Amino acid sequence: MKKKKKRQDWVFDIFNYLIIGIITILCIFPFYYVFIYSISDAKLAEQGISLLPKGFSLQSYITLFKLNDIPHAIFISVLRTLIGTVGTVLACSFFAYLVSIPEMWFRSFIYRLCIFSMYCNAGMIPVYLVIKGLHLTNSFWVYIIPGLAVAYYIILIKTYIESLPASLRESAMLDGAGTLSVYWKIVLPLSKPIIATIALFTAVGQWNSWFDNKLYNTKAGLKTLQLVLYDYLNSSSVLQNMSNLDLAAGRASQMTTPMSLKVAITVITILPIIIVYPFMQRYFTKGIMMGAVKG
Amino acid sequence: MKRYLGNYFTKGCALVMTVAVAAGALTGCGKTEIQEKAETGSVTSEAAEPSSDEELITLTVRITAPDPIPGIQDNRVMKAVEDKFGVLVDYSHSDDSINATSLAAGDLPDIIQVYSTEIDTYIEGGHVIALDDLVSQYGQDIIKNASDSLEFSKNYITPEKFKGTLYGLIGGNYLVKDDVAPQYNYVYGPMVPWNFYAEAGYPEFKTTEEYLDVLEEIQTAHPKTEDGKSVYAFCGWNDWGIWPFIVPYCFSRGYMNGDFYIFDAEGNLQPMFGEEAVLCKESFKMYNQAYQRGIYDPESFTMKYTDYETKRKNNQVLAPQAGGDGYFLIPGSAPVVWEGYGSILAGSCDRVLMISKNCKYPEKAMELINYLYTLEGANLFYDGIEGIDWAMEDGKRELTSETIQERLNNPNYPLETGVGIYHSLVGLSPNTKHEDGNYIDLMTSEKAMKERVTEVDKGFCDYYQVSYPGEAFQKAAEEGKCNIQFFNTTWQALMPDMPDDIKLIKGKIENYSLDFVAKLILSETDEEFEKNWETGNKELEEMEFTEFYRWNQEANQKALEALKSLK
Repeated sequence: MKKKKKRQDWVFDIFNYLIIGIITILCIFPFYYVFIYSISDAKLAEQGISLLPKGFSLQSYITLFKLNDIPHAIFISVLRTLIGTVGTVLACSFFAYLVSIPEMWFRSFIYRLCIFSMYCNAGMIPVYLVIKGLHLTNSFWVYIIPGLAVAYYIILIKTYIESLPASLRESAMLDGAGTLSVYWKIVLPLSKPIIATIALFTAVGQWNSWFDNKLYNTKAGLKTLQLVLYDYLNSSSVLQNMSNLDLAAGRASQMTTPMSLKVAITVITILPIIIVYPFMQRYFTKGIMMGAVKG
Repeated sequence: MKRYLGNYFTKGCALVMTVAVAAGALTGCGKTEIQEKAETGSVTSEAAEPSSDEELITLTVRITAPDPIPGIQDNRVMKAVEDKFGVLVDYSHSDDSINATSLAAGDLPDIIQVYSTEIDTYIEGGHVIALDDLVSQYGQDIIKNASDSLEFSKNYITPEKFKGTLYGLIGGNYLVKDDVAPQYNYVYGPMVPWNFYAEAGYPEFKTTEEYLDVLEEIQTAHPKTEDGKSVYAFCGWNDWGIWPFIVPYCFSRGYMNGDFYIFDAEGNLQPMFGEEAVLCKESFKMYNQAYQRGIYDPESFTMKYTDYETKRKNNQVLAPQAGGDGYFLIPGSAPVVWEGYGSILAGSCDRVLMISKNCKYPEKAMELINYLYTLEGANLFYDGIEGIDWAMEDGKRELTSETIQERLNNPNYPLETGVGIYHSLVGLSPNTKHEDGNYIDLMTSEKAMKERVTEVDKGFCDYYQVSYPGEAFQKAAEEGKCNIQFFNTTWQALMPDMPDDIKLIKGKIENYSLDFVAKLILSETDEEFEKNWETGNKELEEMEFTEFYRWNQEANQKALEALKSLK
């Protein structure tokens, strides 16, 4: 039988929806603002935009996609995202599985060493020297190999695996399954929520990453989309600043502005994640909570 | 059996991981081959990969200014360089992180530009080569056109330990001293929006009071923009320190800004705060008067520069700090018109070009750099290609009319052509005079100045009967109505590095100064302004502002003395 709502329940509900509605708008509005700015006329948009776009222009996107490097850069970014995500997920999950097995030698020591790396970082220069010593500079694999083992993800996955019944593993081993079989056929399928979470984190990180490209790779053929856009934006900003000071150049009919390019770059950057996230969301919410419970 | 093997597999993995960890720890303890080679100075570069074409050499160049897009430069300017020297330029932007890692790993690019204050690390670490021999063999034009800056670099930029040896080459040199290119327009000072100024009947103003009267009249007539936003005469922003609140006034009185002091063309200092701070106090007072009249944007101290730019472009600011479309200084309204600054004696001496030990082709690198010190080279980089971008007209180089329009109307022109984006590499200043009588930067020739005039500028030009806006000020200067001032800032390069205790004081002043200026400008009455001025200066005294200023004064005096010996 449906309970009749009292007056205070109604008040609470209204207040609740109001607050949540406001927070939702506050969360969504920045994305909305960036999107409408990117499709507005750049010169009109400079005068300020509030709720609706001013004019309509895709010139910023056209300008960006006309850059010579863009198609190849997109390919590199997609490749590193795919390979990096799969690599990190497999490496972290397998490592986490191994350190969750009681029979594993030195598992505490290895696991603690892994945790230690979360708190202590040698710094940029030693890391660069290691990367260079491993001949990973000017190589595609610098995007993948250093990011294969991430301590935080290992903790999450290990915690999740430990919540699985030990009897599953034991019965599988009684039936003749080896470590790899147990990992591949039992642990990994059951860990879908946390795996999806890690995959999403990694994919976002790989997609957005540009500093490793800037630091380790100077070859044009290994440039990622983010660095191409970053370099172009820096050049445009400088040119615009120069044109602001140089009155003659400043009067040029500007079809794009640094701000319009920035927002277009932002949209290009976040669009793939926004597209992918709804499919991963159900795993994400479940996984992050289950991984966090025992800590 | 499988279970037995499975256990061994798990244990095997554990063993492998332990060995891997141990191996990693041991590896990290020793010196790498790269580090060992760096100490002996025999590092070979991995960054400078030879071109697949045997005739072409790739030179990696890292510059402080982020102008062109990084990578192999393939625009028409660089194509001309490639044809002439057989060199491809692989360009990258300088960055603190990247430079630090390059230094540590010993893989600097072939040619690197660094700030003069950071040169010690590169020289003392043995990362760069001395250039004396290379310059004498391959740098004849550098010697011919920049001998002063070579001496300056050897004696004042090279660290004390290596004084007398040339390591860094300074760009932006002037061939003819004290002859600087005229400006198309001048932007620092008491500005007005031309259309509203014309509407008000071109009222003359000479004093601050009269200037504020004019702006108040304009704001009263136009309190809102077309879309209903408030218009104010003045507006500032809070992420450039106190720059927005001193520059227009002080510049138009013959002073430029330094580290909490201002200086005149002779290099004499005046503090921004304290009893001796006359001009800056007048500047703050002007804005306070504007605030009391209701023509100063109260949001100034809560806005960033980008917010200010939005307002300016939306015509919400009547007197912007540094010009813009439709805003002009009025000839004769201020005693000084700021033309620019630079080191006439020593070029752009705040940064230098060096050749690293990794460079496999130092002779080629020096040939290229030498070319950048020639008129031909400077012309190529600033103006483009003869026959395409410019041509000879009556014995002088002139940009074609199409190029002038392209440069004005196509914002991607520099990136597409390479013209004007490598200015930090070029050895000669664009404002220096060419042999043919025009300046190197052909946008400053008489022809270009006239063709640059837009519809917006035409009103100003017609009223003052000039061909381009800057000419009105040049005429006023000839008539003695104002002084067009270029600031020779060579002495700043001769000032010693600030010691840590003085830097600490500067940090405290930086944190406080904006609040202080905000209180001053937003004072409701003159009495409140004076009271805030006194209180604020007392606070600054407690922060040892006087000691900070005295250090700067002494450093300045020493620098001026050293400058006399240079001239």
